[in-house]
Amino acid sequence: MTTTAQTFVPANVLANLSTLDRSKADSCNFGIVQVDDSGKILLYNNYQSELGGVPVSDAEGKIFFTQIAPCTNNAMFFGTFKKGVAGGALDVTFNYTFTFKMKPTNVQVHMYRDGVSGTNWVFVNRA
Amino acid sequence: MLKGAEPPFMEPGSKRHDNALWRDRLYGGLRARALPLVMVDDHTIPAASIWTGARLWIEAFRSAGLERGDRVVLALDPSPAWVQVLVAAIWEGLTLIPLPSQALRKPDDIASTFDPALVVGCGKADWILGHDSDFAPRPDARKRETTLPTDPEIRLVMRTSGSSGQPRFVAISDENLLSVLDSHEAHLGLTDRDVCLSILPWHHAFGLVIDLLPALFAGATIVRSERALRDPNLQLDLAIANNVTYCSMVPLHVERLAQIGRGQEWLKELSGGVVGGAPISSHQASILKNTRLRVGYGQTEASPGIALGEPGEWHEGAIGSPIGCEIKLDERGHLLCRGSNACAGFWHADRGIDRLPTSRWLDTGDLATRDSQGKLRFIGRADDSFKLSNGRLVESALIERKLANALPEGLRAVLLPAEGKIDVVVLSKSKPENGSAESALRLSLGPLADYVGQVHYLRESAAPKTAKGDIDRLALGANLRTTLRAAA
Repeated sequence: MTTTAQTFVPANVLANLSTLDRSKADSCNFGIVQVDDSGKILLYNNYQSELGGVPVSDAEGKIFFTQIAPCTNNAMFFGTFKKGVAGGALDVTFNYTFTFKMKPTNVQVHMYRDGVSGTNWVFVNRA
Repeated sequence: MLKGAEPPFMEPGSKRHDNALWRDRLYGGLRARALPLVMVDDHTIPAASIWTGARLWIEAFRSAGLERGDRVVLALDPSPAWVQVLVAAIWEGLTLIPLPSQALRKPDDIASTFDPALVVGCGKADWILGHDSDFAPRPDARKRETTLPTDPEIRLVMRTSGSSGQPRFVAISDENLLSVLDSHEAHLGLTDRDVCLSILPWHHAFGLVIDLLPALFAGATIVRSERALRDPNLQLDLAIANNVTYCSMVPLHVERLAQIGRGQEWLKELSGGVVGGAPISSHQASILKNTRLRVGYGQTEASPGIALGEPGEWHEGAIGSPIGCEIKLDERGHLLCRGSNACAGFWHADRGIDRLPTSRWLDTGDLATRDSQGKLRFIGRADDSFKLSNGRLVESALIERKLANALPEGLRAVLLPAEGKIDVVVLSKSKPENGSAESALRLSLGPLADYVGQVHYLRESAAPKTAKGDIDRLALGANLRTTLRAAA
């Protein structure tokens, strides 16, 4: 795992997360998932919806790590998230293989907690 | 082991249901799960994606026309694809032949040696199936026409290490494999909380059957880096960064790890792991005695598990207690085992698999003894024995053990055949002094001393070793002959 030095997320996006609304998120060409401290999805952008084949309306309100992407419910992924939220600092990037539309797909993941707004983000990019 | 329902996409009543036991484990243990998690170099793949990837390989195998029992060579470097192909091949009841990826430099040799229906790896022939950047199979391979018969019950054909003679290819059946996995599962104690550092080759029986498969079925996290395989510092970095709890290794790994500052402490911190594949020296036993690692004894011909020690129970030549089989010493001191782990047969390039009786006693070719407490100790390989010009058998392992007690501290002797005589190589931990052991050596050899040709002195670190850390007797003998010829 590494930190933001290797992230695919543009600096201006990371710097303005407190004002990132749905339309701005949908304009990005990578997956954006905003979750609360329990992992409940607050925002699921179009890119992520199309990548995963999960409609936005089906995803939002569900727990990302157990209901939408249960393959992330392990110490490496969900455990890192919980540890980061508990400690108030989350900023890790790593490679992962999701299954999108029944096909394994290599992606880069950046999990980030915005210190200004206290919001949590999972960014996903096709590797 | 994790259990699950029969997957809905299988055709009821098809012969593919013959493999139900495996399928129950694979489906229940992988589908839609986050664990096991396999981390190989820059790739991290959870069980769910191993499962969906394996389904793509299953479809590719079926599209290529493969049927249960067809032989498939797997010649990839360890990767997510390697694991997916393993799962798919077991699922389909194929006979998988794992080889190092370098083997595909000579695809014609693979074809003539194994007569495979398909090869998974990188190559140009239409019977070689590659993969894309997501490790999915490329849909362009065709089944190769084969001539040798298939054996649907054989799940693996695996190469022996060849450390004591010509390597052979061992046929391991479903019964063999499941027997070893089931008998070892409780003893290994792996759980889904374990993080396993994988440093053994997956194309060897120890690395695959005693390390990788138990970790997968336990739902553990498996961490591996091909870059770190030969570098103990990188192995430690990887282990510490990933909070590794478990690691299986050969004795040479133990020595190398113990030589670096943090290594010995790290070995003590591990909650488990098996050390096997080569005999345990007294030095290695002293390193391991304060760890929770345990000895594992076996060989590929026994699929490969025969015995396990208790955690932290170490002594020179440690073997442990039989697991899932019975063992005995015959009148010659050979260690024999009998049980469902005894391999189903051997692969022969000219005729396929020769089956062997399942109830036989398997002669391991290892010499062992019981100490005063009844514990088994490995002494050496029976096939290191040789005959003198007068026909007398020199049982090297037994004699070398006797010599070890007679020679000064820090010296050991290796006996090598030399045109009907005995050449003795005296190995020393420090700089050798020529002639220093001569009288003790001859005294201890008794009448055999008359047959001693040359006595050579060599620093132990300069002696050629096998990949597992044993003295390579063939190479040592060849080196001596070359040196003598040059001197002449």
